[in-house]
Parts: sequence; structure tokens; C-alpha cells
Amino acid sequence: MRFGALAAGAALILSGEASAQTEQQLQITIYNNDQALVEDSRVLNLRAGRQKLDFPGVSAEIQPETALLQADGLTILEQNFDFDLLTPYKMMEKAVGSKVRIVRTNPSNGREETQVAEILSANQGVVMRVDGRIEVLRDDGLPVRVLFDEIPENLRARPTLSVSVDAERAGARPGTLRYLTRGIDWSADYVGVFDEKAGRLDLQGWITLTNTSGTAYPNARTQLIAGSPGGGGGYGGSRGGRGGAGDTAFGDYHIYTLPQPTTIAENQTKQVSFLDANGVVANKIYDVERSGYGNDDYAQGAMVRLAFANSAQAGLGAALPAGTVRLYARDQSGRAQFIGEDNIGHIAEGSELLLDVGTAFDVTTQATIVAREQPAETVAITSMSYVFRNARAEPVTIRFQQSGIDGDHELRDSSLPAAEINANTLEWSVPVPARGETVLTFTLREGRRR
Amino acid sequence: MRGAALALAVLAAVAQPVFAQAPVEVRAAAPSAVAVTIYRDDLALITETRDVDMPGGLARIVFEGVLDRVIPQSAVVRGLDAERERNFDFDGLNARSLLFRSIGQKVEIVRTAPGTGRETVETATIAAAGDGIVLQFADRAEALGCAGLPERLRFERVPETLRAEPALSTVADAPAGRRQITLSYLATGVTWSTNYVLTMGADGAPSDLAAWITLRNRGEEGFADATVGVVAGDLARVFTPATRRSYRETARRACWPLGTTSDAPAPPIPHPMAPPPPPPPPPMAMAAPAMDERIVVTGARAKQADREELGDYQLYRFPDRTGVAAKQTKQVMLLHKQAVQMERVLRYVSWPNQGSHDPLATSVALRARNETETGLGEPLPEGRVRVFASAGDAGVLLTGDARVRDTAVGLEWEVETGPSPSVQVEKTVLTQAQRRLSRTRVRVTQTLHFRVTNALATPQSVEIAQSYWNATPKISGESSKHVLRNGLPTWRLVVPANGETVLSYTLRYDQ
Repeated sequence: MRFGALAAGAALILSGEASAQTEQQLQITIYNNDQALVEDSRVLNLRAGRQKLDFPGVSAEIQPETALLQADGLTILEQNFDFDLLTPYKMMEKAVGSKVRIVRTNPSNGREETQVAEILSANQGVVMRVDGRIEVLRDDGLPVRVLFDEIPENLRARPTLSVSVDAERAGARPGTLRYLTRGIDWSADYVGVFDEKAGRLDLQGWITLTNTSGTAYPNARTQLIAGSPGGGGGYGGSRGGRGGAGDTAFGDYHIYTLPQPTTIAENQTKQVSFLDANGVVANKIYDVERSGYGNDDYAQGAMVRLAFANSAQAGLGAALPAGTVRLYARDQSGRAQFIGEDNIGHIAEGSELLLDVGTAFDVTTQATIVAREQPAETVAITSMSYVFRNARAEPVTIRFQQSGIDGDHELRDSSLPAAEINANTLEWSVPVPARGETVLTFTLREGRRR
Repeated sequence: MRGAALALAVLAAVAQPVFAQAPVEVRAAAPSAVAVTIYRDDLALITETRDVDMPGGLARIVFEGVLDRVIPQSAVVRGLDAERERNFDFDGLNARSLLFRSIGQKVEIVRTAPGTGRETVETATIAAAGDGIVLQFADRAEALGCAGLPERLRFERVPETLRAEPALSTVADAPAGRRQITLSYLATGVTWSTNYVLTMGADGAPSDLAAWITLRNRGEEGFADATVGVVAGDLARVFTPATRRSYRETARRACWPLGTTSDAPAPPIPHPMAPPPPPPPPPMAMAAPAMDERIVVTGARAKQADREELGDYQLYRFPDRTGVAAKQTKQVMLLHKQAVQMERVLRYVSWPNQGSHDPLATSVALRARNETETGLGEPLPEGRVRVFASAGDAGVLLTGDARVRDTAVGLEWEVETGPSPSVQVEKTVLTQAQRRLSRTRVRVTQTLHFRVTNALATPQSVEIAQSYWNATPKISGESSKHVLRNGLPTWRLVVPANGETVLSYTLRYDQ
């Protein structure tokens, strides 16, 4: 990595006589909601009195209202964020009423002739006065170059922050420019390789930074906040978050600090490893969830999920920042193949995780309403039949949940034992033999005669 | 977890200098082996085996030639122990990035004098490159490409932060020597689907079912000589936003107003930074239908893909290493079953609250249980089925076009091909009585009569199903016994050739 070449990205340039080309220190704190706090610290060499400081290297997606320059004995008079970009069109517009040089080129011999022209208008053609006569620039299509004496001062190649300040005294002093910007985001990306036979998961975690803010941040000390102030977030889970070895808690948020300053280049996705856990105890689960009753026209695949605990006993146990988990399994040749992905929120240590993998091809369910009657308006009696089929060569167990049940209910004639998960949900554990099927039947009486 | 210290490898007490020793850049060799696994929802996993000569110590390994539609966050590198950081620079070298990364840098402007062809070279600084290019000379400023003269920019070198193409790189610490590394990543732009060709046997003879894996590569890059596999199954997916580009950085040619008094269209302005667009790609080979037809007519045999289970999905491997070119569609046989016992059934559904109606066409369903007894007995991925039948002198005709679902072994495979105007059902409500059970509920009793006509020269199987809303209906006085099919009371009738059959029953339901 050639860091030297990147350092040109965000330099502080002082206009006028003041100049300060000293070591720049960047600190960047990145939040989860496409927002980052940039702190640009350096020594400012100032004249006494009023002067203008230009910061052309700030993020193009700066939120200028959040910019704040701080230095000893410095009073901010005015702060401007100039979006007026330099273009040929703008340059010509600003030249209206003033003189430019034009160079006509003879198309047959290339001979050049320079004249002075006064630009009268730049709107649907450039109208100018040359030698006391009025003509339109390149009316005849012949080559004419236009030479401007200078580039207008307030037109810029990139959006630029300029700060007018009043310095009490001349001299060098440390200054810090702090601002919020969009265009820099981070999340976590996890790679999980699941060994179904062993019931183990190898999990690697990477922090992913993406910079599309229009500037580079050379050698920046980088912190990541798991959470979005004002935008929700923070850690969830069954227990309160307890910081792992590498993170510190800040209010309700976790802060991750990259081990060393890093250069976040323009239009770059950068990943830094933060987790490597092998042999985490993990189980595959077949889940079928039904809310209400219906007849299925066809058998539907069960949801395959992966369950594991974020605990030290299970081989994990760290605050996991929100992100995407991509799961892989090895095929018969031993090659890791992608099998599905799921998003996780911020996971506190001690939480249980349940990741969606995909829909099973060979483990299916088909529901049939055997009978449903309403002996009274507030009472319904439903007899259901669920056929669970398994086309695989090994037996499976399906976790089946019937939800949306009236809290006032009675289960009758269930062919398998059921567990009450909550007032409105029943759960069955349905074993299905290899290349076979299991039929679950039950009758539910819901409601009560009034 | 490998020891407690690995819990989170982040956070050092003090910020250290950026890599005490600068990493040495090495390029990984071109892949010596490529494996591509393609999924149904526009996704592919690419696994490349590459050699790299490690210089010893900290090195930045650059992987060039990754697919342009890579999802960089998905990259996995195996064969390196201590990866420090990984970068994906998605700004490849192009006219736009060259200009933008050169803002403030010195460039040469070369002008060719008309008539003489003499070139003049001057040095200038790029002052702006957003909407048109502004050049700052020592004594003046000019716009590029606005004078109507042949002008071009010359750059001394490619900015060091730009690569020829988007590249993945990783920084790792490893001893010197040659290493074999596998790089795998997910990319979009490649997908596959299943296309079935079902040729119905004449007069009850078994049918022929061929299934094709159709690969489509919409990307600008392909793979040569790769191990290719496809996965049938619905994977859980999350939305990954496409790599964003900085919104401000679009280079457009732009000048000042170029209107003229004659109002004639301005001559095109030669622009050194915007080459003409490449010629449109040749029309994509629409090989699929033609291929299907050829197979149907000749019954040609093709090598089939090998199937294995991958977790809860099916993985099909192509029999030979193959290439997938950019913008290419490719087909490989997934399975071929030459004697499938398909059952043809004509279906009709009677709805509650539906009155009498004139004869209506039934819909055609072709069914077979997915078992070896019926000539099937293999997982059948979802896809599109085209049904062909022999029509005597007219030859083989397309008689249906339908979608089918993933069908595991043991389940019924059903192809709904469309209406049959030759077999129709006329429904008559003979009697209807209503009794109010309460303020909001009414008990309806209907006697229904169905007349099924068959204008075909062969007897036809017909299924009449009774649908219902909330509570299951009570059925009595039926002229033949019903069964429950997919939860609905269903009557199966055989209608003689050029004849008719009737069905009647009494239905009671509450609403």
C-alpha cells in the first residue's frame, strides 16, 4: 500500500499569505446510518487579524452546518461551503461584461490570429464585441479558442469549505476542524462455514467500510460506533451487552477502534478482520410456521434455519455488530458452497441467534382442513391435518408452530404432543423418517359460547 | 474459538504508525482453476485457485480480473493465515477516474493545427473536470474541447491510486515463498433456470421429459475452462445495495452556449476524454427455443449433469469443464426421462355463492407422482415446461406452456397447461334455501347439477372440486362418492368419447 501517494487527498490550504503545510491528523468516527464524524487536526500558521482559510479536501457530502473550526485565539466570522463548481459554462457566464482574448485558427494553414473580445452575453450562444462589431462566437463553426485571464475566485474544482476567521495574534497553533458527513458507512460481514454432520460453525467477522464521500482520508484513526444516534440501533439480545476484549461501551453503543490508522481511499470498500471463531456449536432447524388455517394446493418447503448461542460455552461470546452473515457448506468435493445469507442486528453476548438459510427442497409440509365448523358465532372447531414429508436419506425433526390461535382454546386429539409457546401459539416437534412422511392431526376448539 | 485473545482482535491500546513497514505489493497469478456455482436468483459463487509469490513479511496481494459485478463484502480468502485488511477499489481506470484523480495535477495539452497537422504541446493544470474541463495555464485559463480544434490531454502517468480495473486486494503477513490461495466471492449478473420439454406419448403411451439447465450470463466478463455447477433451491437472501459511486463525480463534456445565428446544429465537438461508445454488442444468441425444438424432433441425447445434495438444496455439476462467455446463454441437460406415465386430468372448480352458468371450458392438468414407478423419481426444480404432442399429419405441436414448482421425490408433479374448450362443464343450481341462524349468519342449502360434455374422440378424466370459504361444507345426496383432494371435496368422473356425464349433490354451508 502506498500511503504517500494518497496523502494529497485532503490537504488544508490557507489562502492569502498564510500557509500551513504541517502534519495532518485525521480521526474519523463512523456510525451505522451513513454518517461519520471527521476530525482534522493540524497546526495552523496564522497572521494576526482577518483572513480566510480554505479546506478544499473536505468530504463532498459534508453537512456544512455541522462544521466547526476550533483553535486558540481564533474567532469565526463566517463559514461558507461553496458548491459553485468550476465549469466552462460558469467561466463564460462570469466573463460577461469583461474582456477575453480569442485565437482564431485558419483551417487551411493553421495560422493563428489573436484578438480581444468583450463578452456581451452567454445565453444560447456567446455574443461578443470584436473590433467594434458584434458577432456570435464560432458562428461559422471555424475553430476559435477563448483565453481567460484568470479563473473566477469563487468557482472551485471540488466543493470547498472556507472559513473567515479573526486571529488575535500571529503564529502557529493547533487547530481542529470537525464536521459530520454522509457517504461513509460501515457494517459487519460474517462468513460462516457450517459443518452439518459435526454441528459446528466456523465464523469469521469483518468490518466493512465503504467510502463514497468524494474524498480520501489518509492515515485516519478510525472508530466505529455500533448504533445510530437518533436513528435507533444499539444492542439487543437476551442479556445486556458486555464488552468483549476489543470493544468499549459508550452509553448504549459499542465503539470499535481499528488497531492502527488506516487510509480510507475514495470509492473504496475496506475490510478489517475482527473475529475468528472456530467450532461454534450450531444446529440446523427445520421450521414450519402457520398462522390460521388453510388448504395447501401443493407441498411447501420448510424453512431451514441455523441456531447458535453467542456464548463462551458455545465457542463464541462477543458483542457482534450488525451486519450480514453469509453461510457456506462444503459439497462432496470439499468445496465451500454458498447456502444463504441473513442480516443480524447488534447482538449482545449471551444472546441466541437464529439465522434464515433458505427453503428446504426435500422437507415439505402440506396442510388440509379436515373439518371446520362454527357451532356458535364465537366458537370455531377446526380439525387439521398436516402432512410432513421427507425425501432425504436421513430422518429429520421439524419444529412446527401453529400461531394466531384464539387465547381461549382447547387442543383435542393431537396425534403428537404439543407445547404452549404463548397464549396464541402451539408448537409440535415432528419427527419424520427418512424418505417417509408423518401426518400430524389435531382438533382445536377456539372461543366460548357467550 | 482459538483462545480468548481472539475474541475481538480490534483495539490496540495506542494507535501504532500505519504498518510499521509498508506492505510490498504483489500480484496474484491468474487463476489456475476456476469453479463457478450459479444460483437461481441472479447470483454466482466464483472460487479461484491462484498462486502468489510471497515476498516475506507484510504484503499486499492484488487479485486482478475479478468479475465486474462482484459483491466485495462476500470475498473469502483461504490459504493466508494473518489477513490484516482487505480492500476493493471499485474505481477502475477509465476516462472519468483518470480526469478526477488528476485534478490539480500537471498535464500536457496537444493541439493539432488544421491544414498543416503541426502539433503544439503546452503544459497546464486541470482546474476542474465536472461539467467540462477547465485548464489553468501559467498566464490564462481555457476550456478543453470548446474551440473546435483537435485537442487532447496527455497524462504523465496513471495516478497511483488507480488500477486498470476494479481489484480486490488483501494485506497479509506471510513468510517468503510460493503459496496457493483460494479466493471466493459472490457476484451478480449470472443466473440459471430449468426448461422442461415434455413430449406427450400418443394414445396413452409414456411421455418423454427432458430438462435443460439454461445459464445466462448478462455480465461483460465470462469464465473460460471452469468447473460449473448450479444449485436448485431458494436461498435466504438479503438486499445488498450495489456499490455506490460518488454522486458528484460524473464527467460530462460541456462547454459554454454554442448557439449560432444561423441556428444550424453545431458541429460535433471532438472531445479527447470521451471516446465514441463501443458498437452495440451482437444480438444475443437466443439459443434456447431452437435448441429445445431440435431435441424434441431428433430426440438427441446429451450428457447429463451430476446431482448431489448440498445441505437442503440440489447441486448439479456440469459433466465437463466448460466456459461461459460474456453475454452468453448456455444449456446443459439436467435430466432426461424417456418413459414417464403422465396422467391427463381436466379440472373444474365450483365456487360457493356461484349461480348457474352456461358450459365453461375445463383446465388441463398433466400429473405424475414423482416416483420411479411413474418413470420420474428425481428432484424436479421449478421452471418452465413446454408441452408438445403429436398431432398426426400436422406433426409435433406445442400444446402447453406452464410453470412448475420445486418438486421433491414423492410429491405430485403437476403441469397446468391451460383451458380445454373441448371438455366443458355446465352448472345448474336446482334448488336453493336459506335459513337465518342469527343476526349475521345464514345457512345456505343448494342442490347442484353438473353436465360435463366431451367433444374429443377419447374418454376424458374430469375432476370437479367444491370450494368453500370458512367452514367446511356438508355434502349429501351425491350421485358419486367424493374424496378430499388438496383439502377440497372432489369428484372424479370419466366422460365417454363424444359423450357426456352428469354429477349432482346437495351442499350445505354457513355464511
